[in-house]
Amino acid sequence: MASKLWNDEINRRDFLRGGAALGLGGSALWLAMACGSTSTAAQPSAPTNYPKAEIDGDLEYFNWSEYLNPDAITAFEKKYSVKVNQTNFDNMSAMMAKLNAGINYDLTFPTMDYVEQLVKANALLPIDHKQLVNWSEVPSYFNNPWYDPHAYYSTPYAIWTTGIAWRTDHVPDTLAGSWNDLWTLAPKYGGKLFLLDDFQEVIGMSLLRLHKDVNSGSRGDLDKAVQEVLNIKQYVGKFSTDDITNMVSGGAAIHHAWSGDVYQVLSQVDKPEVWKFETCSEGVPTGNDTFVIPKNAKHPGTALKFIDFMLDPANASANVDYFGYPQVTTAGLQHFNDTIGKQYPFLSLTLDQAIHGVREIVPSGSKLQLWDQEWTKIKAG
Amino acid sequence: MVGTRRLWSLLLLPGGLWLILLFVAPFGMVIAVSLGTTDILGRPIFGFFPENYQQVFDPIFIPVIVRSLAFAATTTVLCLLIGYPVAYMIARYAGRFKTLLIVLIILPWFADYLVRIYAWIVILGNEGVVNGVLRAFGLSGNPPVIFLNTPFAVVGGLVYDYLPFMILPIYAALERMDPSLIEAGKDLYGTPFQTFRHVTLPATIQGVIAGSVLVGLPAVGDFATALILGGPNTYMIGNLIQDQFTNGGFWPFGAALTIVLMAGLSLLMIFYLRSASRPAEATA
Repeated sequence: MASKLWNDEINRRDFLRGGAALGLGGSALWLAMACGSTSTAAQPSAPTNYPKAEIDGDLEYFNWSEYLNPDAITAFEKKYSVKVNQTNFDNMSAMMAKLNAGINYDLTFPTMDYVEQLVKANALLPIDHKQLVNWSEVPSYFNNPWYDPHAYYSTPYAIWTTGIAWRTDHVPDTLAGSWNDLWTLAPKYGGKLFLLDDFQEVIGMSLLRLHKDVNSGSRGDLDKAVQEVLNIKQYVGKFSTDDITNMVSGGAAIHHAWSGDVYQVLSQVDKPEVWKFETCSEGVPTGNDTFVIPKNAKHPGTALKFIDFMLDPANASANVDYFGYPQVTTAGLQHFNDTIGKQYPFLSLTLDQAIHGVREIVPSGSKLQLWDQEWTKIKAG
Repeated sequence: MVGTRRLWSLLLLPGGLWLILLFVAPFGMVIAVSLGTTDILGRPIFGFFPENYQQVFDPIFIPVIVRSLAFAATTTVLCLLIGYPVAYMIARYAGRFKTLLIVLIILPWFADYLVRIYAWIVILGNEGVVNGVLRAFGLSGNPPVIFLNTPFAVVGGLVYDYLPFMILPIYAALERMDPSLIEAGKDLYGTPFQTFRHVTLPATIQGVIAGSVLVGLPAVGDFATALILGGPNTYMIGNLIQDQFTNGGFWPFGAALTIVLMAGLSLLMIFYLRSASRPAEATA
């Protein structure tokens, strides 16, 4: 029943975030270990067990549905005379459950928080950049991202930001590009203002609005941020991560939302011109997902070939056209901003923004417990 | 004789295995997880951490518990008020249409539970059917009447979800009741209300209790209705448990909440079973 509900109710991005949140469960290990030995990730040593980037069998591919250009898959199959066996997951927890159950996949697509955990748990095979012809397409920052030092184990895939979406025909007000917009508009648009049902996003944006650390571990900061959310809770139509549906047909006029989902909304509604999206000056939460090769992959060589294939400038651009997210390669980002970003300037997303965006890091240890309590105050209060 | 007995024990095997595989074993897992912790990838690690249970009794959860009980109680009362007359009409006056009507009541259950809850979004939405009708009569306009994301939508959804569970046992009780009892009541100069109050209701009270249990208990733990039709002020125990597994939570705590909820509902169930067995003893 529960898993069924997930499949039905929640959209892709939600799964993504819900999944990221689920990662919390994982970090709770530290909580149980009591008196947190602060898990300072020691710089991992360079891996030595690099798989060779050469075709070694059919690819077991495990991704969200409709999250990669099917033409690229067909072209890959043709080019290398292999089959790509596709399996889809609906959320990060489903993906993790299958990985944890030891099912062999050659290639999967976790979000950054999960990569960090998978790397710490030594559950991935390393990716030898030297063997990828198109690795130079990966922007330099992602050669050493925060979640995977030296990018030993992951290749970036798509990026998104969190901001505020609104429809100008219902909300003629001028927005200030600030998280405070939610507070000023709330009393006027009671019931039509929706917040994401995601503890990191909601508490995080409230912290940002108060100019506090988005990953604060201070009870005082969190109490204040949570109280601020409770102050507008009476005007909130719903806490929901199904932001696409809420905006397309669910009566949301103002939505705390993910940029990629906004593009989906724009392509689904009759009058896309009434929708706007802003990121906020106090801080723009930014995230990305990745390609990784699970440790028990049977055909890591084919997986590496596939990653290389998707990094190819022409393939990355065609992929952006298909799924509407900025793929993190030089060509993919460029193409995104030349097309979707041009058409909807408020969706444009530069590499610089992605790098300097605010990182919401899944809390762990006693901090996780604190955040969980504070979130419950919002939900239960 | 012994042979028959063995046959019956053998026939119990499939059901017993079913229960062990699909109830006892998973339930054991939930208990084990509730006492454990997790590793870095969220996989359960078994151990003994009773503090998972301590957390359940944090006062922060009182509003959630009160709300869940209130929603469930309201749902039960509404189901009873709607369900009893329906069951009564079918049992007493439907004649040869009885079976058909009962089938019609069960029919929606052939469609998926979630699909039916989603249908209420279409019905109650701002641009939905109800608002359309209200608008036609000038009772709703711009802004429309907001039904969705309110406690009303959740209780309405719950009543809709569980109504058949109230109608069926009451119908069965009414069917079992000898109609001549009602005539006797009337012969003794009872008004229709007195007859109902002193004859029909006591004769069918077991159906009412059974229906209330079948509606009330699942309604307390329901989470999908509040998730889909509810808003920020309809957070129920089921949603709290669900969030432990998907949104900022901790599996062992979610499992502990589950066990405590089950224990609470079991107490209510025991209360019901005892009250149900008493009249049986009296007549035996």
